[in-house]
Amino acid sequence: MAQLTQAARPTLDRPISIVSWLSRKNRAYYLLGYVLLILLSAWTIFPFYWQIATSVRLDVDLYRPSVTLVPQALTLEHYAKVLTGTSSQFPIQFRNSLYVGLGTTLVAVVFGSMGAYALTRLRFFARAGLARILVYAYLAPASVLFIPLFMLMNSLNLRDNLLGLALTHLTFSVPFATWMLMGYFKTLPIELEEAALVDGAGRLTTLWRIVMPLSAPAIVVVAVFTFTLSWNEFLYALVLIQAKENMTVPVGLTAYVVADVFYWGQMMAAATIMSLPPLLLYFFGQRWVIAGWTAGAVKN
Amino acid sequence: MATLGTTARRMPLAVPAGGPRLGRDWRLGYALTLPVVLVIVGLIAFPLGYSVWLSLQDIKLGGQGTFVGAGNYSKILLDSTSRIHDQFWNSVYVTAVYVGGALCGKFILGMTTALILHAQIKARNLWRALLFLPWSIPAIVSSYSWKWIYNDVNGIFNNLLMGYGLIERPILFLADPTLAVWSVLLAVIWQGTPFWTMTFLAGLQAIPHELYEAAEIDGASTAKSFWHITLPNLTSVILVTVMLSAIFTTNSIQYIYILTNGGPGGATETFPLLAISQGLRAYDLGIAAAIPLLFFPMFALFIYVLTKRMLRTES
Amino acid sequence: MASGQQFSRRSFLGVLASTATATVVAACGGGQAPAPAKPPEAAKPTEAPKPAAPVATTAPAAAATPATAAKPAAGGPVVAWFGLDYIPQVTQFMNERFTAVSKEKGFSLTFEELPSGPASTDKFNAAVQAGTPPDIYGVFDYQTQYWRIQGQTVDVTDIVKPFATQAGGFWQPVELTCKFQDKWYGVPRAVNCWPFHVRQDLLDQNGLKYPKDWNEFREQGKKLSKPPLYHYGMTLGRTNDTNNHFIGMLWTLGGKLQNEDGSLAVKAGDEAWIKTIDLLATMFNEDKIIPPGSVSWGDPDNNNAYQSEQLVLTSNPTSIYNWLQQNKPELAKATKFYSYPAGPAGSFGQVDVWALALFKNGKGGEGARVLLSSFLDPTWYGDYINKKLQGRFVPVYKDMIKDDLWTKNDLYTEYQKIIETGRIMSYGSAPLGAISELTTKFVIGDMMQDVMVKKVKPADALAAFVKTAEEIYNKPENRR
Repeated sequence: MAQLTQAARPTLDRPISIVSWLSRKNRAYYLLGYVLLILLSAWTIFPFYWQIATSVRLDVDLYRPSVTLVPQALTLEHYAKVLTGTSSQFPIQFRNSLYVGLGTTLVAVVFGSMGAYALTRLRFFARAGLARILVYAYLAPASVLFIPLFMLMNSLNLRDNLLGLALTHLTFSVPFATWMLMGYFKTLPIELEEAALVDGAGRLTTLWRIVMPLSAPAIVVVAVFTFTLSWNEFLYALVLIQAKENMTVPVGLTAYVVADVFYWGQMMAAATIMSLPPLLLYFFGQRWVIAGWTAGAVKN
Repeated sequence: MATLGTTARRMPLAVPAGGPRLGRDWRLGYALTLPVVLVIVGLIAFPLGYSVWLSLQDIKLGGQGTFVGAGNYSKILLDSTSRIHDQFWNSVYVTAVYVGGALCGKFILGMTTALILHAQIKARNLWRALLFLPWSIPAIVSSYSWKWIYNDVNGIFNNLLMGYGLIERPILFLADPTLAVWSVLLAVIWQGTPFWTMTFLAGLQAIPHELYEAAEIDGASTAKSFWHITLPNLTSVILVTVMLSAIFTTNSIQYIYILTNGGPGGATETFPLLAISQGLRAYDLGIAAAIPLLFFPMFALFIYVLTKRMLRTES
Repeated sequence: MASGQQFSRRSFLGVLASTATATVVAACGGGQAPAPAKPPEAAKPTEAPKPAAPVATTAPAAAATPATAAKPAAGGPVVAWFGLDYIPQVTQFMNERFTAVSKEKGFSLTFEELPSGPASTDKFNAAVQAGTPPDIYGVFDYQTQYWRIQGQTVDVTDIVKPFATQAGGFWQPVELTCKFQDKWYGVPRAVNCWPFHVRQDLLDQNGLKYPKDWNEFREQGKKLSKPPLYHYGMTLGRTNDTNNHFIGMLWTLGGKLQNEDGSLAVKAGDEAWIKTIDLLATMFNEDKIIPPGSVSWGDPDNNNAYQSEQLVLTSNPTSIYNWLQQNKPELAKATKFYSYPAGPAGSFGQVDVWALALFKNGKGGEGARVLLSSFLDPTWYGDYINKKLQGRFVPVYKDMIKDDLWTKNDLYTEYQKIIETGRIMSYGSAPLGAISELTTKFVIGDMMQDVMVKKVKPADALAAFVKTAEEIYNKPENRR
C-alpha cells in the first residue's frame, strides 16, 4: 500500500514542473506565462491599491475635481480610529467574526468531507437525490430567506446569539463544502482505495488514511473559502445580531456609511484589516499543506 | 494515447454485498450523510415553505395578506399590462447575459491563472496570496471601491484616460446603458476569479505527473496534453465550480446594487435585484417571494443535468 | 488493520463531531440550541484531534458571551431603534434623554443606533414580520401611515394631544403626516427640509443672483456649466432623491401628486407633469446643465458631486452642508441655502416629517409612552433642536422657528420661506398606503429613466407612469 501511495502521489511542488518542462520545448510559453502573470496581478491588485491608498489619505483628498493616483498626504488616523476609538467595537467584532468563521468552517469541512466521501464512494439508496437536495437548498437567495430564517432563530431563542448566526452560516457553507469536496474526491484515482479495501482496511480508515491526505490541498482550499464566506457575510449578521458585544466585523463596517455621507478613510481601513485573516489563512494553509506533504513523504 | 489512469478505474470492488434495496453501504452511507442533510433541510425547510406560502398571497410586510393562489405568478409571467411583467422578462434577459458573461470570464481567467501558478515559479506562494486578494476583501467594501473607480467625475479610470489625452469627455461606465453591464461584469469577474483559480489549482495538483511525462515521451504537444490529460481529470472539479459559481453569482447582488442599482433603465437588473427592489424594499412580500421561486425549476434542471454524469456510480 | 481499530476510528470521528458541536453549543450557555443529529457512538477516549480543532472548539467556549436573548420580563426593557443620522448628535442626545428619563422612572432601556443603509431597514422589517419589533422606532414620511395601515402601530393621541396646543402648535405638514382621522399615529420628531445648496461664490463671481424663475435658471446654467462643473445636480436615478427633486419642481409648474381626498391627481396628458418632464429633458439633453452620470446616481451621489466641487447647486437635506463644515470649511462659507426657483405656480419649500412610532408588539409596556412624552416636552425639545442640533432640523413646534438660530443667521434667511410654504411629497393630502408603494417602487425614477435613458417621449413616459400609478392607487389596501 505504501508503494502505491508513493507512486501515484500527485505532484505538488516537485522540481519537475509544467513550466520548466514546457520551456524545454518552447520558451514562448514560459515568457507568455510570466507576462500574463504580471498583467493579471496588476489587474487584481489595482482596486486593492485604491482601497489602501484611500485608507491612508485624508477624506477630503477624495473630493477633488480630479483625484490623484498617489495620495497627496499620508495619514494613519483612520486605522487609529478604527482600532482604538472609544466608540469603536472593532476588536470585539473581530473576535466574534473569528469564532463564527472558525466554528462554521470546522463543522462544514468535517461534515462536508464525511458526506462527500459517502456520496462519491459508497452506494446506497437515494444517494444522488440526497446530494442534489444539498444543492437545491443552496439555491434560495439569502435576500429572500433572511426573514423566515430570522423567525426560525427567534422561535428557537437563538436570536442575538453567535450560535444562531453560525447555524445560518451553515446553510450556505455545508452544501458548498460538501460539493466542492465531492468534486475533488471524484478526481482521485480509485485504485488506491480499492487496494486498501482488498488489504482489509475499513471504509473509514480509507477515508482517514488515504483520501484525506491525498486531497489535503483541496481541503485547505475548501476550508479557506468557507471561512471567507462566513467572515464576509453581512446580511444574516446584521439581521440576527442586536447586542453590540455580539456584532461581527462586516456589520461594524457599515457603521462608516452614514445616510449619504461616507467616512471613506475609516471604511477602507476597516476593510483592509478585515481582508487580512482570510489572506493569512490561505497563505499559511498552503504552506502547512506543503510541509505536511513533505513530512508524509519521508514517513511513507 | 490511452495511457494509465483509465483502466484501473473499472476494477470492481471485492467487498461482499449487503442489503440489496437500500444499497450495499447503506449503514455507513446514511451515517455519514444524513446528519448533514438533516441539518440543512431542518434549517431551510421552514424558510422555503414560508417563502412559497408568501408567494401565494398578496401581502404587505407587517400586514395581513389575502390569498391569491397563482395570482402573483400569472401577473408576473403573463399580464402584459403590469409593470412587473416587463421588468421580470427584462431581468430574465439581463440575468442570462450577466451570469453567462461572468462564468465565461471567470473560467478563462481562472484556468489561465491556475495553469500559470501551477508551474514552478519563484515566490509562488506570494503570487497565490496576491491573486487570492479580491475574494478576501468583503464585497460591501470592494463594490464601493469600484464605484468610485468608475465614477465619471473623479473616478480614477476617467482621470487617467483623460489625463493621457485618450478621451475628451469622461466615459459613463455606469450610466451608459450599453456599457453598464460590462462595467459591472468586469468588477464581478475581478471579485470572483480567485475562487476559480484556487479550486482549479488544487485540482491540478491532484493530477499525477506521470501522465504528463508519458505524454511527453509520446511526443504530445502542450495543447494536446492540456486537452487530453488536464481537462478530463479536472472534469468533476470544473462541473462543481461552474455549478456553485453560477448559483453564487446569480444570487449575489452586492455589486450590482452598489454600482448601478439595476439601472440605467433596467440594464443591469437581474432577478434577485428585482425581487429586492420591487418586492422587499417596497414592502411587497408576495412579489419578493415569487420572483426567485420562478427560477427554481430552471435552476433545478440545470443542476440535475450538470451533475448527472458526476453522480453516476463508478462500477 | 484489525476490526478493533476500524471501530475506534469510526467512533473517533463520531466523538470528534459530537465534541465540536457540543462545544459550540456549550459556548452559548446552553439554552435550547438544537443539537444537529449526530451519530453518537460509544464514548471512546478522544485521541489528539487535528491541530486546528482545539483552537476552534475551545475558543468559542471561552468567550462567546451568551447574549441577552431578549426574553422580556413583564413590562421588560423598553427597546428603541434609530438609524444613525449623519450627525451622530441626533441620536446621541435622544439616547441621553431617554436614559435619564428611564432611570428616573425606574424602568430599563435598550437604545440601539443602527448603521444607516437599507440593510438596517431589512433588519427592522424582519423583526416586525417575526413579531418582535422594538417599542419605539424612527419612521420617515410615508412610513408613519404605512405601519398604521398594517396594524403595527398604536394610537398615540393621548401622548401627543396635550402638546398640540403648546409653543404655537405643530406645523401643518406635521399634522398631515402624523394624523389620520383626527387621531395621532406618530409622535412628531422633526421637520427635515430640502434646501438648495448653492455656490454663492460662483454666482457672485459671475455677477449673478439666484434665478427667480426657470428661464433664468437655464440661462445661468448654460453660462456656468463647464464640464466637469455642472450647474444642476438633479438626481435622475431610481432612488429617493429623484422622488423629491421631481415633485419639488412639479409644484412650481402647477402639478401635484395627490388630490385633497387622497386620490391620484394626474392623468395621462396632464399639462403640468408634461411640462416638468419636458423641462428636465431639455436641461439634460440640450442645455446639458445636468451631469450625464446622474441617471445612475444613488442618494449619496449628488452629495459627493457637490462636495467635489462639480455642482453649482443641488437640493438636499443639510448633510452636504454639515460635511463641508467639517471637511471643507471654505466651501461651507461659500454655500447658501435657497428655495426652489419660481415657476408659473410660484415657489414652494420642500419638507418631509420624521416621527416616532410606537409598535404594538413591543414588549416594553408603559415605559415607552413615558419616553415619548418626555421627547415632546417643549423645554427639552427646544433645547435639543435649536441649541444642540444647530439647524439640522426645523422644530415641529411653530413658535420655535423664531429662535435666534433661525432669525439671526445669514445662512437661514431663505429657510423661513421654505418653512412657510413647506409641502410634503404627498401634497395635497396625507401620505397613505398608495404613496408608500409609489415611492418605494420608484415609479417616478422609472419615468425619468424612460425619458433620459431609453429616450421615450415625455407624453408616453407619463402615460406609462400613470398606468402604473393607477394600478397602485386602485388596490383597496392602498386607500386606507
